[in-house]
Amino acid sequence: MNVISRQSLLDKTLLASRIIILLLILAFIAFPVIWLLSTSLASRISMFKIPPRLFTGFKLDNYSYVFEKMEISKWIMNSILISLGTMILSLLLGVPSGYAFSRVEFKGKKILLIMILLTRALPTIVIVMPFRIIMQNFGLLGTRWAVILIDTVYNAAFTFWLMSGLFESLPKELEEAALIDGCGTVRAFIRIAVPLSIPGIITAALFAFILSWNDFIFALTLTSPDTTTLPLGMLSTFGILQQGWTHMAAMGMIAIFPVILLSLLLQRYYIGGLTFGGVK
Amino acid sequence: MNIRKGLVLSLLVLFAGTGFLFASGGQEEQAAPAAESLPYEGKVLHFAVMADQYADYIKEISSEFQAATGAEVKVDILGYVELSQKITQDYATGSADYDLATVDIVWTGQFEQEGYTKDLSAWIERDKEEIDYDDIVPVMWVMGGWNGKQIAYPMSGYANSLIYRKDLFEDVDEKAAFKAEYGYELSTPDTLDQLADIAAFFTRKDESMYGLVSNGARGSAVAQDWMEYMRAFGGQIIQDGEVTIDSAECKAALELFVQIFDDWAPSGAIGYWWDDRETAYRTGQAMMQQSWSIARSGYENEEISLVAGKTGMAIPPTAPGVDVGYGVGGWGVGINADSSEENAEIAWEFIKFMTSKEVMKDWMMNDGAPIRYSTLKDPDLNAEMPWLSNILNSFENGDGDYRPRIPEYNEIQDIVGLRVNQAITHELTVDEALAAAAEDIKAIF
Amino acid sequence: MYLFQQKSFDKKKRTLIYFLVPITVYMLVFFLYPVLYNLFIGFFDLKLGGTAEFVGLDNYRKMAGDEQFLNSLITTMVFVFCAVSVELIFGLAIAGLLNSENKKMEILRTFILIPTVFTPLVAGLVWKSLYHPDMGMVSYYLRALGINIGRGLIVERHLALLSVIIVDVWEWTPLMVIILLAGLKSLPKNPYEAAMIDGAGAVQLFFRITVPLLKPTLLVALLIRSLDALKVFDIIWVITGGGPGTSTTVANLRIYEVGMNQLQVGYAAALSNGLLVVGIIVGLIFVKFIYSKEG
Repeated sequence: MNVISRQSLLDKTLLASRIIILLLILAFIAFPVIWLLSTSLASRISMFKIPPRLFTGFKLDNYSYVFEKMEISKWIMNSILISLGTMILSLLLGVPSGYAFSRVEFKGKKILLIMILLTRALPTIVIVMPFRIIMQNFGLLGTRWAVILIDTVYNAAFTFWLMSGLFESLPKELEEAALIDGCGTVRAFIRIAVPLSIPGIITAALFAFILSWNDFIFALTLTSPDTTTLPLGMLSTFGILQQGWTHMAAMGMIAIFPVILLSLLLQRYYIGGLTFGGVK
Repeated sequence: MNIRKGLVLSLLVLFAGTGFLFASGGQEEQAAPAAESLPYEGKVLHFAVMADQYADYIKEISSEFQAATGAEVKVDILGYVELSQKITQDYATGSADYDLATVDIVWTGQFEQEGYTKDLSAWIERDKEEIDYDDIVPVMWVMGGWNGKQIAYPMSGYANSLIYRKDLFEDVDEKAAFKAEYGYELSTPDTLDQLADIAAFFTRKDESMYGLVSNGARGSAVAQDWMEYMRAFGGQIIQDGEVTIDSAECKAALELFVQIFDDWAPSGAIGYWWDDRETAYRTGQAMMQQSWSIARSGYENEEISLVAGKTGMAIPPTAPGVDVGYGVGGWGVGINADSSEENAEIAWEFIKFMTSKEVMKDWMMNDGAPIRYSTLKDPDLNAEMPWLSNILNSFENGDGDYRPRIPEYNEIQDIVGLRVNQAITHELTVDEALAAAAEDIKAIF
Repeated sequence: MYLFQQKSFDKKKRTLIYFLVPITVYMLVFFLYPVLYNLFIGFFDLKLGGTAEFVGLDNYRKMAGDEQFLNSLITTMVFVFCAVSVELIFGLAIAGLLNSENKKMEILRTFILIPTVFTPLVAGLVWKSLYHPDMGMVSYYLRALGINIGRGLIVERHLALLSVIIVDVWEWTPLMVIILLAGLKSLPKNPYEAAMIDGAGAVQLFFRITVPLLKPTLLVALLIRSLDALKVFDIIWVITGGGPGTSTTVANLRIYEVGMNQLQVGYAAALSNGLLVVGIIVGLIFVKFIYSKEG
């Protein structure tokens, strides 16, 4: 055996052991998901047998129960509308402002930035109670708009921050050329800057959707029976006398499915957003 | 040019989404079939319902009501904590999200004082014959009333009961073994000492058998279960305007309660909510529990129960010399004081419909809870549920006031729920816990 | 020509400033106004639906002697510190393991991300069921392995906080991994080669080169996670409800109880302002570190 093949053998073993360790970690990470899937397919009584087991049955009863007996379609629709609304509003507010912020110097620039970054430091509980009172004064309490407006505070700030960073790294020459060609600033932004930053916009949209979809405390305090979202609706599976693990699991699967799917499909953009703060 | 295509597509989706958002912004449209003679056609009411066993059937009742009157009563089922928060926030801010709500009878004092729900007295007087006032057990009326006002209408009556494993209590070998050990016959306990003996006897941890279980989770769960034992010992939280939660009776009750968790209950019971406790019984781990009669029919449902056909029900034991009424609780239904005149009128019609004799009988067959003599004495129902006579007995001798239904109940329950939990987890001793509770409760007034 | 350019530049600038108006107005109305409103009602004795009475600093005096709230602040600090430091250590280790050009690693990385998109409330409900003291899978198999978990992970006072920390670690370590992995991949190769020639071992390499080079990324990751952990609510609300006793009652939960259960919105506003100050201090400490290292 020559030196090189011994070295490559060592490398291979090292890589294999790294992968094995990672697979173990992955098992820990995936376990709750597997449990959720298994429980959503189990019969109610089998959940209470000792020792507890995974995959005791494969029935879709729990799914049909939640669709027939609970108003899950309404909750899903509310969750979708609120998430989409937040996404659109966040983009409308965050993208043009992020662009302008990267292109112009002005007094108070720092104050605006600090105010926007402060949203991240603000505990939700601080804002949610006054927000509730304010929404009531606006006559919006209990509507989807109430949740959209508060979700957008957090998401527009993130979009703004992300987009201003991205536009900062785009070359200004193209827009300047367009300006000289007689394009207005608005057209230069829409024609040149926006197409170049599509990946960033996808990232921002994805984050706004996920954060809004996963929100609980705002929906808890701001919605009415007609605007209940999916996470909030899930709580009613835990009645006073019946432990509804299997129904909860069916709804849980429905709740996590779209966000997991989106994050896997748009993985590149999702990771881009996660790492943005760290690398910048 | 994939990106452009994708962009166009996603923009289309966005616009469709926003269009939808605007179209269905606040209220939902009604697509009710056209029928001429229905008086409340197109009206929509909201009903916040506790996620208790009776809840599912309310949706059936609601659709029957809609067929009869045209009004749609939308049923929103909520867990105990969310229900209490949602409706008190609704009432306090006057947003009138819910026209109707189930009202735990312990909330009546607070609701009356704050004017949260409408006083129904005048309507009840007006429609006395229609509702057959005297057919409803008197204690039910008492529990929905406060300060001479009827702020909640009787809906579901619960009797506090001792639930036990009849099959084991009647087993010849068990009986012999029990007599040999304790010197008297095994039967349903009359005293708390007997309860303790039986609990100890049936606790066999190596066989996953636990003698007696209660709720231990911090909050309403542990507070309400402890109050059952407090009542059995003759203790009271407030007596003649004085805070008496640190009395000798309450101490004795808490000592026994701590012992339940130390010696007889499944080890996790200190974290149990109602559903956990019921599950422990239904899965055959716990041999006895004090529970509400509403849960009774669930023990026979083999979808959720492993002890079908094995359950007995009795009046819970009390300390010697303590002469207290049997524990009674349950749910009433109240009308939001901020509801419009018209909605309130429809809500009242719905209440009468929901609690009428005929509907009550159907409801009983679908996990309802009785409030009427006619339901409790109905031969068909009795054939199906032989335990109804026990419930009737409890109701006739019932005391719905052992949990103080005063306006400050919620705060008291928070305090008791924390301090009793600290006692059973041995963070505080029995004396410390009750002294702290007494101090906290005095601070409210 | 120069004049023309100047003018068009001004016009461009003005248009761009207009771009900033919507978000500024939005943040003023929906962010700054609620925050100021909170500061304002903190001076009142106000019960939701009742009338407000100006009480000056009374709410803050009450806060200073409110044992339950001060304890909840300590619980919050313990939660944030333990959760974030464990996440950092695990995150760094896993990122190190993943740091390779191998294709398999990319696939692994994809799946590691799942907890970060998991709806926190669902995560809470799932873990609550897994932790169920008698029937939960985790409890059962830990006991079967002979590990003493007392009466149950979420019902024993000394284990309950640990249990919710584990859930937070499960959910957010992947975020650390991704940020740190990106940091690791952007590190220059030269210093390592030089040090290896000097004969430095793996441990020395890690502490002498990786950590200092990675410091900015580490600090930002710590900042993001600390501020987010300070907001923890959903998982604790669902899993323990703050119990047993008050062992998992973090500040958010206590404030929610005061404001939404007892409807004492004035006092709750004062408490949340107290918490906000803590949040800002934490943020400023990190920012100071980040800038002092960069500058």
